[in-house]
Amino acid sequence: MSLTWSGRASFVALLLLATVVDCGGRTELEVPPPLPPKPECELDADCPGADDLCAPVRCIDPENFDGELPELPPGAVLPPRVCLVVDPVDCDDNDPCTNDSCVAETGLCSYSDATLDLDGDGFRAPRDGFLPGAPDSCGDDCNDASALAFPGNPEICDGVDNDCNGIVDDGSIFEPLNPNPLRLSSDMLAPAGANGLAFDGDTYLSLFAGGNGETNMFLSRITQQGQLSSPNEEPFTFQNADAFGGEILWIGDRYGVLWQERRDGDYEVYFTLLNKAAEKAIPDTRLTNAPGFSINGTLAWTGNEFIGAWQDERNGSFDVYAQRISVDGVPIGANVRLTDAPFDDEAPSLAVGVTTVALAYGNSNAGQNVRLRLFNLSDLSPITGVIEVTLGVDAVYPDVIWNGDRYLVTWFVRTGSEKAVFGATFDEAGNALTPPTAISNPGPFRSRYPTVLPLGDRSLFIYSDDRDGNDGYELYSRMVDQQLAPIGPEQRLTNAPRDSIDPIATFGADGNVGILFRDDRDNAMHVWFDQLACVTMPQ
Amino acid sequence: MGSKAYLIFGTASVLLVFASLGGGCGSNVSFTAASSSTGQGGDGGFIFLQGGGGTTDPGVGGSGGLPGIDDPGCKDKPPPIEDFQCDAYNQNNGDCMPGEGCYIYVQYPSQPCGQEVYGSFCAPAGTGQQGDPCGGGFDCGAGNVCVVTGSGTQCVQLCPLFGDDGCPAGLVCEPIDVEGFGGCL
Repeated sequence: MSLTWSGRASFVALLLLATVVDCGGRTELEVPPPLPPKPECELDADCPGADDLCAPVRCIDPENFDGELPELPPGAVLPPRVCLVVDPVDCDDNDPCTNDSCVAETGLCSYSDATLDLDGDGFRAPRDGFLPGAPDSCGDDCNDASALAFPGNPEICDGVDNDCNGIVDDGSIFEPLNPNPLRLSSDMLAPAGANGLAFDGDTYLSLFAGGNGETNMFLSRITQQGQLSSPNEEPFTFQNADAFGGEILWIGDRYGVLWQERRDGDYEVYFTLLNKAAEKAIPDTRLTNAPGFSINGTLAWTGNEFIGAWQDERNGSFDVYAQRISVDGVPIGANVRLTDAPFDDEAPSLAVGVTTVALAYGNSNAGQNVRLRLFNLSDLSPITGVIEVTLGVDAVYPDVIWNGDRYLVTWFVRTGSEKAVFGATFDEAGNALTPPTAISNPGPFRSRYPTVLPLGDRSLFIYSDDRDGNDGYELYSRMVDQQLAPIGPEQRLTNAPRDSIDPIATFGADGNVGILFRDDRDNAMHVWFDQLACVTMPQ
Repeated sequence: MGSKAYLIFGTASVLLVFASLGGGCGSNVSFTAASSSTGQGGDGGFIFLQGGGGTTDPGVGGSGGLPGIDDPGCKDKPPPIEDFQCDAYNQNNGDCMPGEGCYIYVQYPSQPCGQEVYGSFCAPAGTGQQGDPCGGGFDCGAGNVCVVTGSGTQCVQLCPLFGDDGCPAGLVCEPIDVEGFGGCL
């Protein structure tokens, strides 16, 4: 029988001992014995916490109590009746695969699975910080956002690591699928810009901003065949002030969306969940409430919770802050400050590894440079210091992905002699594996806006380039290996007047890659969609 | 995850103050007091220029059992108020005095479902040109605007949102969060 004395206030009084004062020649006072302490309670109901059956507090008589009493300081005396926690319920089953808790109303133990099977394929995602299938991981699904990925499943060309061997579509290449891309935004929404693209296993869901005036956000669904479906240009935000940016993620049974909006007098970061029908499943949840702008949000999924990050002006200059968010869209804890440096830290990008979260961001000290920092997956405490990915070049708009066993950081150099798309790789301890390496070769022209898809042993870059003199930027792609060495030539994807920029890519059905981008070919800024086909190469 | 190409215009030195405008029609928002800061800021002194964003996600499967909710938003919101006192795209048309530039601004709504205010006014011209760091709108020369870009707060040249943008080679016209204006980035 274990005990915890819940009475403290009355106990303190017992520590006051009588003292005798010698005042030189005066008669000593006779000090009466201390009064017996008053009872702390008469009934169980007098004790705070008496209704908690997990840690029941009882009113007991210490003289007739056969259990272990709390140890008292010298001179202290227990009251005749005290409130004691008697026999708290221990629900720990020593099983790391269960979340153990006690229900206060019943005193009964409750055990729930510590890992999730959101995609319903019968395989659970591992616990945070564990590789799939590792001891105590409690899950061996390498991708719990896809029912087509689980150990033992045959690999096919579908953009998924079906057999969980760490490689997506082993050996495949990607080629343009359609002769012409699909325009998503109507004339009423110009100028429009691409914000996010996700694939839910059946269709793509695009998120874009538009409107000449107040800018609002809209959702459009695209079929695997590249046709518009419902919802089509469905309003996502209904506010009186500009809303745009952010990201959309499909996590197996729902979408998470993070964006910025100034409905409340300033740009703040918001989050919501959408069901598969692209309907909002929870109210818009405001993640920030701080002076200055909270903007340029990014969103990641750990397998168990979301992490949002953004640049935040609350301290004067921009720092990067983050917020953990539960699978049900409830913020976990407070905003977490991830960077604290002189000059602005901007344009954050997040990626989730095995035990860490990587943050890539731009810093404006000594020009524009790219920095990387790694954090603990469970509580966002820093694992590394600031890693200077670039120094002394005009490197901007970093992006980071997790690819098999390493982080890949990408960016583009805006000015100077080599205005190309670059990449560098790091392990989870922050050690550089591949130094900054040019991915594109624009010659005297420019490459910009890289987005990358991880294939485990390769990476597919999609970016814009204006080398061809075609009145602006066109989209290009290139495959590289884990050391960032090119596999094949750069491939031009678009061919139209004016700019094709800001590509956002995601895997779709049959291994195809969906690309959302801004294109000005119709003499106005519109959002377009195109696909690359996955082609299996003979092994 | 896409590039971040948002621009914000500096209005820190703009002294125009507008009364609280518009009426509330109730937005469907849940708020978490996740910040240790007190209250929210004003206009932040800048304007956005909008561009990319987004993500990649190799997701397949799932049944999607979450029920949907209704987002009332501001469906009956009033239109923005416009107060353009000069033509920022035509700096030398005589709208402003010599030595002045025509600067755009935005006033964000001070309460949910309030009205935005877009406008322009004449002010002494700054000296900042394309790509120069700035801390507010007046740091930039006439025909430029101070924006937060995600790659430094800098002066950018104003550009039209439709047709030829006139941006320097290699730069792209991105929308600014002031109605009808873009900036070269």
